[in-house]
Amino acid sequence: MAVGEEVLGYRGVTERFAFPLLSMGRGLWRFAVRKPLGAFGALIVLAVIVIAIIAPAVAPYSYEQVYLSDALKGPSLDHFFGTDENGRDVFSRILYGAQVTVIVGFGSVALTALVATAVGVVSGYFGGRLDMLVQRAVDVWMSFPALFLLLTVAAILGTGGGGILGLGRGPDWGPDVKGMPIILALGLILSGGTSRVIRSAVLSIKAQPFVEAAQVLGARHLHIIVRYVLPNVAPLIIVLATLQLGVAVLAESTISFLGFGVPPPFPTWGQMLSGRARELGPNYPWLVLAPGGAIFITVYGFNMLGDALRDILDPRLRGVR
Amino acid sequence: MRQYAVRRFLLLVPTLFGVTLLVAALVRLLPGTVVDIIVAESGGQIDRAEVERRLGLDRSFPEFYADWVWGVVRGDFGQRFRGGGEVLDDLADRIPVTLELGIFAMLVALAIAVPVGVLAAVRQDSPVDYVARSFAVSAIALPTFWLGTLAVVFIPKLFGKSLPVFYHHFWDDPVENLKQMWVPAVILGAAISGSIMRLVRSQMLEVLRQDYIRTAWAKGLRERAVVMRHALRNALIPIVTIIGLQVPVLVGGSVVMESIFVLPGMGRLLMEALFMRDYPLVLGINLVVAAFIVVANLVVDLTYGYLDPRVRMA
Repeated sequence: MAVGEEVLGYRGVTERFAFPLLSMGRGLWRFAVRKPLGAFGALIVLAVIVIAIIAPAVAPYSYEQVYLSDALKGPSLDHFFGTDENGRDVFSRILYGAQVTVIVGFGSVALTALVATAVGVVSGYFGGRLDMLVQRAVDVWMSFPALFLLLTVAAILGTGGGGILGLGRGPDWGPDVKGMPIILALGLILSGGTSRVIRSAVLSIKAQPFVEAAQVLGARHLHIIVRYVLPNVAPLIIVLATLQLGVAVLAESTISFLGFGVPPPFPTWGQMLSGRARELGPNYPWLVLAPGGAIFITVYGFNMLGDALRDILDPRLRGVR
Repeated sequence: MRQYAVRRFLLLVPTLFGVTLLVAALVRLLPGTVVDIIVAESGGQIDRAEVERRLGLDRSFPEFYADWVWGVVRGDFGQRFRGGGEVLDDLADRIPVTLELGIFAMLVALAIAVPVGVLAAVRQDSPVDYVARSFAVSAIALPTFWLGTLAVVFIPKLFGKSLPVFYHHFWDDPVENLKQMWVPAVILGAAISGSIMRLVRSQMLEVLRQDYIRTAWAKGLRERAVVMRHALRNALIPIVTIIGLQVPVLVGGSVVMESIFVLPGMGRLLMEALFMRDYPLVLGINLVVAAFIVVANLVVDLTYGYLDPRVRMA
């Protein structure tokens, strides 16, 4: 069932667990040779994660300190991407912005994977009336107007400190969980459609002889799900999650652009494009080019990695997105 | 078939209930209610309780929601919290703008995606194919709000013409209206054309390997006839589905385009309503958009069944 096995050169589950490092190294090498674009995407993803982690250590300037005498300087060796209208270093702000991208991107995708797997596996495995009910609920879930709802939720939950307009009494999530409400909203909204794909995979696994054998041997449902169903849907979940990373990053930056994301002064790439960037753009193009380029490269990298993983692990998924 | 249509139509009801209930519940949780703003704006002149009573916020949530639903059933979406005025009037005012933008964008997307996708499939693994695929991949990864911002920032600089700011309705002044609409429509259309193009290409590749295509070649038909008459017509059927899938994307993209290009559509209205915490307006907008998406998907699915009788509606 695990489609990836022969393609990646794995012979079976035992070997995969017996020689994890060996087979991982071999798998990575084969992946890079077969899918150079995917490997390129993986490098971009890795780079963005590393940047997010080391941003406070390597950023040459603070993201919020205002130096009006340095306002709107062009790119130079002091300021790689120039400075904004408050004299803040755009390069440093891009580095810090990667934190929001990574936290919201991976956070919401992890939540989606969790919720969608739970819903999809339970609905597909137990079937019958429960399945019918759950699937009708998923129908409703999937027809939610995603961005409208997302904006509404983001605006209402506020995004840390003071809520919107600074008047609010929104929950203070603290500086460490930036964009928590967006993670919740995005994760839950994306789960509906994903759970359906997982459900259909579970249906086909359930029809396999090894599941029947386990049932005949008297295995409990939980045991069958954990031991036989989940390992077989795992590759699918990984592929879907990777494909959704790009979607999540785009959604987060869109919300930030529209002014409902992580509130300033903490920078996000979408937020850096809103505000005065548009009116200043004609004369100070780096304000527009740098953050937009960062979003584009990141999303491109996530998508390339996702496409390559999909082709290798589960080619049947072509055209899902 | 009819049973399927009826069932899908009935699905409308729970969907709309779900969306509005969720939004209504969330709206009550708004940090900093509209009351605070109104009281603050009046400089303490107006009594808090008075404002709450006038806005119906003194009632319990179930009462508030039931009242609102009953209103909608009677065709009354309530009044705006701010500045009075019927929500329904606002919606009627704004819907055509978003609809026009969405239809134009979809036409642009199809005009790019179908020919390019077909060409890429027919000339698989040629330079044309690689260029087309790179275009599609880039289009999917490009944020529409960045493209829009780039257009606003650089079009006036490059062409020396500034983009129009005041909106003209289509029926008032079609020429001015189109001058204003074409940039956002092309950007939105190009953005969604990427995923449509990929689907057209993969569908064409699949169809081109079918037996009846080999038969068509064997008959000695010219390439044009094989591709256009035999392959494309069959490949296009699944495209109908992706049009349906793109409707929510289009609706979402319209929020971005309307706020960048200052078009008075539903997306802008939602932004205003959210900033003002105008509950009835937020509820009304979400209801209308959800209804539109469900109906669009229903129409698409039914069309699919009509175009491809092999699809059994279960």
